[in-house]
Amino acid sequence: MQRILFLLTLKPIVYGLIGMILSGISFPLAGVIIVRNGLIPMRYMLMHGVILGGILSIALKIPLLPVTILLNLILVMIMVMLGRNQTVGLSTSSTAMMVCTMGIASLLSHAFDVPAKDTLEILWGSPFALTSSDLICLLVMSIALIMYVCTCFRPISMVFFDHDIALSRGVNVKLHDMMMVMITALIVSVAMKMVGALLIDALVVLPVVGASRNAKGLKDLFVRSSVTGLVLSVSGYFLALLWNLPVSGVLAVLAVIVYLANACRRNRK
Amino acid sequence: MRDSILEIRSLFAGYGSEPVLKDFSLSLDRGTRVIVCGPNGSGKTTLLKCILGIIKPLSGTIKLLDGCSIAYCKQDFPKQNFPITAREVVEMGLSGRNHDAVQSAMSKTGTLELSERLFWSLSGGERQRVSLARCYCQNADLLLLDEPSSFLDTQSRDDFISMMKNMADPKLSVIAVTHDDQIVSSLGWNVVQLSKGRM
Repeated sequence: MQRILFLLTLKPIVYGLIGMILSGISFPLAGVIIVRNGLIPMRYMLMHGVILGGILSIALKIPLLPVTILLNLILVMIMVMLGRNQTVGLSTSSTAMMVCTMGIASLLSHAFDVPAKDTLEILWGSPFALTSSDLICLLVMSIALIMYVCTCFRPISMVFFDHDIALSRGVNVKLHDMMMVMITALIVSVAMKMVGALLIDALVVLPVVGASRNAKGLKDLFVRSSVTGLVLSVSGYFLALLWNLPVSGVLAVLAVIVYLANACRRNRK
Repeated sequence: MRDSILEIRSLFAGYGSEPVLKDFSLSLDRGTRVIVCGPNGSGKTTLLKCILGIIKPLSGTIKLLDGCSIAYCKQDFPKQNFPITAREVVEMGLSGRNHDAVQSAMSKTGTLELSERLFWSLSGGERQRVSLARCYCQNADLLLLDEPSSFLDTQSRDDFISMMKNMADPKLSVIAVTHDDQIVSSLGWNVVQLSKGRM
C-alpha cells in the first residue's frame, strides 16, 4: 500500500492513472459503435496506420500521437470513399488500405533506417508514457465522445436499428456513419499509445462484449460498458503497479476473466 | 374543399437507370386510407421509399403538403446483435421528450407489457405492434405500412386488421402496400393495383 502511495506521487504514474480513468469511461462507448457497426476489420487497418505513424514519428522525429491521429483520419476517409462503391465495400477497402499502409511502412522503415525493435514497441504501448498534451487530447476526445453519445442517443439508436427508419425520421445517416468511423479512428490512435496495438481490444471491445451479455437495452449497454471499462482499467492499473507488471497485459487478462465470468454466469442461467 | 396531403405525378423510380415503378400517379386526401397491392417486385416498397425521400425519382414529381410528417412501418428487421428494448424502439418516434406519448402509443397497441423486453426476442406480431406504436408516437399525418402482414401468423394478422380498422384519428392518411389478399379484402380501403411497376 505504501508503495502505491509513493508511486502516486510520481508524475508519470498520476498521468497514467488519469489516462486510464478517462479511457476506461469513454473508450467502451466507441467499442459499442465498433461492435454494433461491424468495424472490427477497420480497426486492424487503423492499428497498422498507427505502426506507419510510429515509423514516421521516429524517422522524422515528430510527436507520435498527432501523426497517428492524422494518418488514421486520412485512412478512414480513403476507406469510406472506396467503400461507397458497393462492389468494394468497407471490409474490402479497409483490407486494401491495411496492406497499402504496411507496404509504405516497410519502405519508409528501410529508407529512413528505422530499427524494427523501436517500431514494435508501439505494439505494447504504455500509459506511463503519456504527456500532458496527450492527456489534454484524451480529455477533449473523451468529453466529445460522451457528449456525442448523450446528445445524439436517439439518432444513434435509429442508425444502429435500421437505416431506413433513421432516414424516414430525418436523421442524416451518412453524417452519423462518418462520425462513427472518425471516432473509431481517433480512439484507436489514442488507445494504441496507452495499451498498444496487441491489447487494444481489452480497453475498447471486451468491456462491451462482456456488458452486452447482461444489458437490458441500448442505453443500459452504453452505461454498463462504460462502468465495466472504468472498473477494468483502474483495477488493472493498480494491480499492475502492485505486482510490478505491464499494465496492458494485466488489463487484457482481467478483461478476459470478466468476459468469461459473464459468459459462464449467463450460460448457467 | 379537398385537402390533398400527397400528390404523385408520372413517377418513374428504381435502383439503377432501369425503373421499377413506371408512370405512377396518386392523389391522397387527408384521412384517406389506400392499399397498394401487387406481386413481389412490382415496385410497392420502391414507391414508399420514394415518398420518404430515401430513393430519388428518375422522373416525375412527389409533392407533400407543407409540414406533413410521415411515419414508416417496415415489414420486418433482420435480427441483430445489440440489445434494444421495445420502449427504446417506440421512443424513436418521439421528437421531444413527451413520455406520455410513448405510454399512450404503447397502450393503444397493447405493447405496454412488452416495454422492457428486448425487441429481438419478440415474436413477429409483437414486433409489428411495437413498430406501429413507434409510428403512433410520431403523431404523423401520413402512415406508410410496408407489407404489414409478412411475418404474422393468423392470430397476429387478425389482431393487426382489427387494430387498423379501429384507428381512431380521422386525419391520419395511410398507404399500406401488400400482396396479401386477406388484408386487402378485410380492410375495405381503396385499392391501387400495381403490376410490373405500372398501375
